[in-house]
Amino acid sequence: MDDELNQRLEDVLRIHLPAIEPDQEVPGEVPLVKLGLDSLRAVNLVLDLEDTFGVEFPDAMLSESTFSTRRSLLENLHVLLSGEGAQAA
Amino acid sequence: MTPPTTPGPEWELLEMLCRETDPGVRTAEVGRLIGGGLRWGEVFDHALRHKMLPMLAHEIAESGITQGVPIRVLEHLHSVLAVNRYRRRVWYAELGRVAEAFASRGLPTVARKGAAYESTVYHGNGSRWIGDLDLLVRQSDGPAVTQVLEELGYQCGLFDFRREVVVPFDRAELIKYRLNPDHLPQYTFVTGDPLVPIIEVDCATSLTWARSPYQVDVDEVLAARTEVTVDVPPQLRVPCAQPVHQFLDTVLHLFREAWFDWWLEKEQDVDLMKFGDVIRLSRRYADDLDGGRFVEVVERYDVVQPVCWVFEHLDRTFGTGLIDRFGLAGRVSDTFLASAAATGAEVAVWGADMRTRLFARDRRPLMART
Repeated sequence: MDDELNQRLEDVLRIHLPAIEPDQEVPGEVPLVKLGLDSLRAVNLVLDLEDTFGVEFPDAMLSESTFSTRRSLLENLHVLLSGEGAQAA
Repeated sequence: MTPPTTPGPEWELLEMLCRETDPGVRTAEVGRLIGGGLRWGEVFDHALRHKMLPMLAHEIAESGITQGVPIRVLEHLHSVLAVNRYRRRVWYAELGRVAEAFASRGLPTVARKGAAYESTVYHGNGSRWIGDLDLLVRQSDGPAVTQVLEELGYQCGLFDFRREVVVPFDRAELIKYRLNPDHLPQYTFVTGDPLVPIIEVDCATSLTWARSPYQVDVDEVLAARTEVTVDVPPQLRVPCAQPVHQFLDTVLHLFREAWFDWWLEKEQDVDLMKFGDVIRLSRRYADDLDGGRFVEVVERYDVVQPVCWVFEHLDRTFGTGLIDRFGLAGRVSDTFLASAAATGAEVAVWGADMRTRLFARDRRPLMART
């Protein structure tokens, strides 16, 4: 499950990070902003993630910290998919 | 007829109104320019784009000049002024209602932009364009602020004039607001007044923007707030920032709207009225700003760069002398003055001076992207 989630996240992220080369993996700890995620791309990333994973990010999760790195995003997706995200709303 | 490609007397008229010269000199200059013959379609086009139609209407009405002004133009200007004077009364009454509701819940706020200085700097004479109600609130108060607005009958979204309903923001728009929490989503109140059918409230939580390297402590601005009395009537008291904060807010707001390229696509790139606001505030609040008082705040918040960006462009375009007045010479490079913040990884540079940019109907060709 973790591997599959991670791969699907990777696939979505690649679409929105222009600084990532085709043969390069999205690193876990590098700020996504440094990989080309600007404010417009961030909105589209959220919409794509919500479509892909069938979730809706609650307001409390729509923050800079959630989208700071691939790792932070993965952690928040875990929370959302496990149903704990409802408590963050 | 093809519109002129370089500024002519029509543009000169608007720049002069923006400068706020001595009333006697201004009247003589207005008379000279009108006497020389103006293309009124060109005047209206620029005045609309720069939100200066009420100011032009006020100037023509006050000067008493009718010679050289076509009767239909004169009638329309009188109507514009009358409507704007009516709008300000409705607008202030609503501002009073919102400010009182916030105060009763212990939510500190100050009016920004026109709401803060229409009645003082512009003398409440209807010459200042009336747009949204602009307020500053604490980011942490966002949920409480929106709750109060909803209790007052406001709806989150924008008004559809054809269907006469407030259309809620879509998911993408709401996500954008959440990820960029320098403003709350816009709230709209349907008044039922045929002349002022809606009032939009725009609550900022920052004097700049989310993740900006230039930040001013909003708590400090709100804690030091004062009030201004407005005779609408009835008389009401509007919470507003201290002059030094109000001036800084106005300067940084101009910078934000002039520096980011996304305003170009929204046709909201910087306009003459905003430069006029800074010019008027710099004169009106001279006692509060001079003697190092303004510069101390600018240095403390490390916002020298954006402030100098605005002052340099003002000085070069309008001859205001603000850089020397505040002792800020040599603090900003020409490279920074020509720069713009572009969306994405592009680097954007303006290839024209500020007058050329302001005058241009389509400014996009003036910006080079690499």
